Amino acid sequence: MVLNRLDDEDKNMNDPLNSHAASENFSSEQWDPDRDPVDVLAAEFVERRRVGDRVTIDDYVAKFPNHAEEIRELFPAVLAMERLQRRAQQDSRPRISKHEIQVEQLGDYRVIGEIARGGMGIVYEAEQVTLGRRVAVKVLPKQVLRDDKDIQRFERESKTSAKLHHTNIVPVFGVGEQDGLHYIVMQFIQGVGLDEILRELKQLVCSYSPDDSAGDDGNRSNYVKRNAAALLSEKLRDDSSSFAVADTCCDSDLSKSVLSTHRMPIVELGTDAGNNDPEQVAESSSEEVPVEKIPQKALTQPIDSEFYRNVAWIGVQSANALNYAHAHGTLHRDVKPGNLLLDDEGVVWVADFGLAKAVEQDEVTWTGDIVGTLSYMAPERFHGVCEERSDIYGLGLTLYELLTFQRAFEGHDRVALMHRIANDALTLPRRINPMIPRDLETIVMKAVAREPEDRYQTAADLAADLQAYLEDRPIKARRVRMTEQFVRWCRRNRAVASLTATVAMLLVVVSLVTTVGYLRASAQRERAEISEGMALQALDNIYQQFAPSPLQVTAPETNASVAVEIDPSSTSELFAVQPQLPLSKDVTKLLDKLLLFYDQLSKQAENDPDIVFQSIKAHRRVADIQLRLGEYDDAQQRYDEAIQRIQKMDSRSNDVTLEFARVYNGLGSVQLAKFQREEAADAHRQALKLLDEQLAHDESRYEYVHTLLLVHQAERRWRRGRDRRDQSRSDSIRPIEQGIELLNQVADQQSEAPEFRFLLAKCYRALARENRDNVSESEEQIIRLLESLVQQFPDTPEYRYELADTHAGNAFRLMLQSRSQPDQDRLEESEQRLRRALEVASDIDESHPNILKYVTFKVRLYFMLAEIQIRSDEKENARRNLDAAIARQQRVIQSQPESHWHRLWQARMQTQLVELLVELDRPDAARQEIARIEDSLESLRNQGSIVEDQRASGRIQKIRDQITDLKKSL
Amino acid sequence: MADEDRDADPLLKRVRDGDEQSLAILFSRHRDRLWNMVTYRLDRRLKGRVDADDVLQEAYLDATERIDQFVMEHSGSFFVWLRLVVTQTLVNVHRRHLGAQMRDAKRDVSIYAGQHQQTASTSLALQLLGHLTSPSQAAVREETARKLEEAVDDMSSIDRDVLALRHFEQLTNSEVAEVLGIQKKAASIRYVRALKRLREKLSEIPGFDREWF
Repeated sequence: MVLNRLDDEDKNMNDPLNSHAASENFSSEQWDPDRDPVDVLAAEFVERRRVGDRVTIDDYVAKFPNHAEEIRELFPAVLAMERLQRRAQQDSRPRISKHEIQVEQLGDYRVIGEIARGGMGIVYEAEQVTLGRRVAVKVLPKQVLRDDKDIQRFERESKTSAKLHHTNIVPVFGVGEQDGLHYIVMQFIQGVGLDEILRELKQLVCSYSPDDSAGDDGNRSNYVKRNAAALLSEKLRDDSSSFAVADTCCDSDLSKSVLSTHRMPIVELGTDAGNNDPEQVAESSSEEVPVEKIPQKALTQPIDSEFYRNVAWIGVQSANALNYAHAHGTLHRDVKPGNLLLDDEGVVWVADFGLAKAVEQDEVTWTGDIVGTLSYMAPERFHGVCEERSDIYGLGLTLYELLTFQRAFEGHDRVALMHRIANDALTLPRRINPMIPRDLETIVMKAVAREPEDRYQTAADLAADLQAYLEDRPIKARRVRMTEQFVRWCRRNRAVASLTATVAMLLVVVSLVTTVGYLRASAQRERAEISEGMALQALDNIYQQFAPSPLQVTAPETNASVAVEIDPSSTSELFAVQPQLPLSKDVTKLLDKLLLFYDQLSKQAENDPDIVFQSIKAHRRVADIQLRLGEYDDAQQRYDEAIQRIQKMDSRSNDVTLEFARVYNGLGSVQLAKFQREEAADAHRQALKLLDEQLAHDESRYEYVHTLLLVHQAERRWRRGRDRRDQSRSDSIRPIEQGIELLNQVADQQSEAPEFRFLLAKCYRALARENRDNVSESEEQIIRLLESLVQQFPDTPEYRYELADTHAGNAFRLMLQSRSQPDQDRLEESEQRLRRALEVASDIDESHPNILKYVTFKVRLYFMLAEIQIRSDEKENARRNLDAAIARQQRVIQSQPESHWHRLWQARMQTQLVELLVELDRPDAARQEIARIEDSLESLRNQGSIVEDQRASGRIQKIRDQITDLKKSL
Repeated sequence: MADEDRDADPLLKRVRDGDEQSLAILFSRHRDRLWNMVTYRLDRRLKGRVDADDVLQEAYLDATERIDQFVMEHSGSFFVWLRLVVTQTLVNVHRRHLGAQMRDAKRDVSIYAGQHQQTASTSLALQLLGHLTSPSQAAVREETARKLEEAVDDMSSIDRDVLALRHFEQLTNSEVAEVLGIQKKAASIRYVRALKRLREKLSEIPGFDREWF
């Protein structure tokens, strides 16, 4: 029977039941006289492996000893061909195997029937035998979980989603495994996916009248139809009446008055459709008449206004579910119609929370993905960002499709589709159908804005607006509409006309804040709130320009790349993030003054927590800039203010906590810069404590690891200050290793984000610094990591700095080694490394003259280079480089006149220069330099801070002694 | 067996009576294998412009137009007829997109030379890379991959054809026989012979058995 089947697969090829039967009849010895027996065995072997059965060559050798030799000989070739096939298939456009094994019993669950199948597996209705309850069991395709790591992640993520308890989330009971089949057990929902409902809606409304004779199974599809029809005209939110009311569909005026166009007949999931894939059938039918081409008049037929309210109600429930999950640190990652179930009562159930992550299917490039999923992906996900707002986007697109009966983005070519999602503007729903309520259009368009910051920032905001629409209250989304275009223009043109834009936005802020005051005074609350929203938006935008959030600092900075970025036709827009503008003290002063507006707004709005939060964020941003510019006291003051404000808040959301941690980290960095090491370490530890509680967010995880690194640095310097051998090295390494581990746990696509890679490189560096014994190998790994970042983002100074600094560190080590043990090769290599560092860092100090770190770094590089050259007797070159170092140090001193360390350092380099000049036999120049040193030492003596610093006094004395000696030799 | 299902399958009967919907169901039933075939035969130069789904969509329309041909003239199995239609569509697609660039459309699509080799080499490389654990091992595997690729390339077109039909397009023996216009017995012999030759070539690859099994 098996053997006949192999030649008769026209009937059975796609029938899992028969495939299963094939494996049951494993030992059949019924040979086809027409065929080579080995051929028959090979065919069966291949067939079983194709359906996921892991039979081996040894199995066959054991079962068919008569053919053992031939099996051993030929089956490896068979396997080789199959591997080629599988791989090539995945390469082209892999799909989930449709040949799933038919299951009857999974652990405690007795399978009753199949509910649906799709890219992520097959959902069965089942009975949990011990509890006698009905459940839904989703069996994952075998190839989704490939190894132990996949399985562990799957179990971990499933546990997270099992913790979600919300009226609109399908409860997950647990996971299980049987015979290598992994499954998730969920509550059985008597409902249908919105994808099916949409399919039905499109037919009802757009042109199709179902042909009853065509194998309609009359059960499920009628059920879908009923729900779809109910959605069109009945009130969903009425608890008293059952949602699925019979007789509404086929007799309704709608389905009779529909237009009919030439199209391929729709294939129902009929009786004989059980052995083919419904998705595929549907796919071929929707391809025939692309939804975009649906005749306009088909859509303009009257749709009951109740329908739009139903859509809004679906949106409210889904957004509530998302909001709840987000608050618990879980992202859905795959919000689309197929994952929203609508039950008989009109209740929406969001399914498959986090499943995309659990099976790592959210990665855009994941080979088994089905195009449908891509259609609802937010544009930022193509560059590795997935966050709450990406979920909001997915829901927005779902609502868009419900409103317009059109999928927003569609296509089979993934690359083209990605391009479209990233670049094409969506058609306004009301252009497709003017019947769509304007408010609903506004809400949906806000939810699906291309830039995450233009969307609703939380699902709760989206829910609130939809609720407002339902209650005929004014929606908030309109608030930004007036300024939206202007703000977006500014954002796009910021690089060209940054000043103009800032000034213009300032004007907006000033006038708006004034208006808000006036409106509040005259009790025009609504309008006041609108203006307030605009003012906040404009303010936020200004700050974002100068101090982007940490995960967005990757930005082109030079004019050349800016030119590319603003070219609208360029696809680089997809990858370009906020350009970081050059900072200056003037800008800081301006931004600092702007903080007052927050206070004013906050006062007017009676401490609205949202405004308070915005204000805290702005304080922190200003302080961040001041820190970078070396205005440490000002920065510390702003950080302190931010802390006070947060402490006054009644409750803290995750965002606020994250912000709190950032503030502490900023404070710690200031303290470290001011050499207050213990305080710095304390501040970072505070941040660590705050972040400890919310590691589920990628953003928090990033900040957490960042903090670990900061603590390490602070403690390291502190140890170095006292006794660096005091503490065992492993104690300080452990947190860094923990950080690396955490970074590795971040979803793969997210970990591809440049900032994560950068942080990883920094962690590796910290580790390498501690493990001095075997540095070179890890050093190379670090350099590779950083180099790829620099290549990808040539204009991000931080990446270039870090790479150059790695080279410099290397050079320094080599130099030290050759010092204790003279070695010309090492010295030469050291010089090479330094030159590479200079090359990488080429003009970062010129492009960012106000960022102290870059300038001092350049000083260090030139100084080290000079030192090497002195030792290899290239005195003239050495002098030139020393000059370069000293000139730059002068700039540092000017910006930090109070710091005596910068002056001391300068004096030390100058002394070195004098030595060199003496050797070069240029006594006049030497004397001049000595005079400069003496001046500077004199002014140092008058500086108050130096008196308390014994080490500094010691240094001064040393320099004085050296000068005296040098003078003698002149 | 082909003749049997010509009468046995009620859907086929409906197709012959001119029922488009049944044709759609049958088409979708064979879609996976047709998709495989198109994927392997689509010229590499068309990647990104045309994908298998597009071709199948077009092929479906061609099939609806030419269903009379199946009813009146074709004596073989429905799948083999569909495959023929898809092949023709594929030729048209290639001609349309490549035009003058296409030296010999018929030859390019009817024989695996070129296209299949490309697929094989890319896929092999990828597959082996997927298993890599250390740089030195990766180097060994890459070498093995290259050798394996050469082995398949080196085979005669007769051997390569039958292997491709069985494994790449997932055709059964009787379908292979029908496509190649030979007896089932001959098809079976040819397949086993091709396997033997491939196995010989694989044995010559150092480390093949160790790396792969």
